[in-house]
Amino acid sequence: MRVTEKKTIKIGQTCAPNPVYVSWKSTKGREYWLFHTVQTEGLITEAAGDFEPYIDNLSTARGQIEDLSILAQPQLTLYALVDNEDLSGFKTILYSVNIEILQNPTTWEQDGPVWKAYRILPGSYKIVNTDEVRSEIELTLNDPYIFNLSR
Amino acid sequence: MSLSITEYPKTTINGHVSKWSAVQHPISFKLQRKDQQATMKYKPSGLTVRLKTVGNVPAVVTAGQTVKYIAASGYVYTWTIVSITGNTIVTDGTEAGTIYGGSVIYPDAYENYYVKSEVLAVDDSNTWVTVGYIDSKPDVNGAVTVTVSKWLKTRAVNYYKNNFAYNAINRAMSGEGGRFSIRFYEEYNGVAQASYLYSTVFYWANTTKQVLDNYGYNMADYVPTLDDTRESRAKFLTAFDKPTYWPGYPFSLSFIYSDNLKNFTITREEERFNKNGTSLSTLSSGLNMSQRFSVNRLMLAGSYANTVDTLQVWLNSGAAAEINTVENSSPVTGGVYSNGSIFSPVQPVEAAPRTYFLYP
Repeated sequence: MRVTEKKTIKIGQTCAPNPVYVSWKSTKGREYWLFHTVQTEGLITEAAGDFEPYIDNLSTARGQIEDLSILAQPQLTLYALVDNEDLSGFKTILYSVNIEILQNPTTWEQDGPVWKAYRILPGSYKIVNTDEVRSEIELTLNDPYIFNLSR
Repeated sequence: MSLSITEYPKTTINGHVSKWSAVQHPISFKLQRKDQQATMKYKPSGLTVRLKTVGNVPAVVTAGQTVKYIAASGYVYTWTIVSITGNTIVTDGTEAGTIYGGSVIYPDAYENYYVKSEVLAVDDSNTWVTVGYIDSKPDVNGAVTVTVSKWLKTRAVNYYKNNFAYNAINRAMSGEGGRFSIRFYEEYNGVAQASYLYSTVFYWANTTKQVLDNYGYNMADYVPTLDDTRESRAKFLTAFDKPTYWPGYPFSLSFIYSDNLKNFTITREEERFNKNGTSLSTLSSGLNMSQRFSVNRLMLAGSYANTVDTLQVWLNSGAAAEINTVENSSPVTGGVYSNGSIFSPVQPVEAAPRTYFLYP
């Protein structure tokens, strides 16, 4: 006796360049998507305070202002051309509280998958125009921030 | 003194019970305080209302106190006690008619009454543990609502990470769902009572439901049942209508391995299709039944030929009643507390596994 629905699974193409494999927790279960071709790596920095040390000898001073630290937040922007039938599942990444990117796509089967957690950058997203059959979606993830030197 | 559970977090789908709830929403039990069972309420001509109780009225109940009579219909009468003789209470009520059954509450005799609920869940080592307590005061008519989801969510909070190793056909994922149960204790006059009311085992899934979803907070749509007449079979836990599997990358489908399936062999069925929709092959593989009573990840067979464009996957139950696993273990009832305290956590012992039987 069949106890579940018959779920159709599409076989995706994996020969695209620059693959980035993402898994996230939706409001139902664990979801997956292979981004490819192009991503944009970015970096946002922010001053975390500075100070002006007392200058004893102006002739040997190296400068005037020194930073306490700089906050460095890497970002990764992903792009996807998504068929309308995939949008109901795909858009759940935009509000997921757990997004992870596979770090070892070529060795995970021997070593076990290694995932790194990212956070979605909240914002306003256009999901679809209802007269289109596909949608271009761009989303930005915050990497773990860089542990930087601080005074 | 007793409590009764009047509402459970469960529903039925095509006549089969679903005890699975979405933990991100309220999971509530409703209880009714019943200090004593009643035989009847009646009013002799020219006299005031009398109540007959099952057994003598407790000595702590005296004239001048309030008594509430809860009829079997749920209607509540409130009177003042005029006198008590054995199992008969004379009240100042004037409502005519005879009502059989029901129960009574003595709010003045049992002061500061509240219900203490002990929330138990199964941890990573498959052991029942106490995850929290909730104190709830009843309303003026003795009705209590206990919402337990906030403690069950603590089982999910550390488990949003993807910890599946993708090395088994199916695996229960701690933090994505599991078993829970509740012990309800009464406390009044500053004394915690030893006996408790037990909810039996229920289930939670780390999911949400949305406005206008069928079955409200219950996950019935996603709970497999052994019901060949069920029109819409249980859904897999995915937001995708047609998920995509990329060969060479880890992939799983989540599903509720429900208590309804516990005595039957479950198999993963696959049918593969080419671009034209022509069936190419099928495969049937048995699931690991030790992972039941939880939200599971299900792997696909993988290693598909290049000609495979799509596949369909579903779960089947064995046709015969094959009793082949342990029962749905639950906390021991009537537990003994080593230090005499009602609220020290009890370490329940799982029932011993039954012998496996296979019937041809």
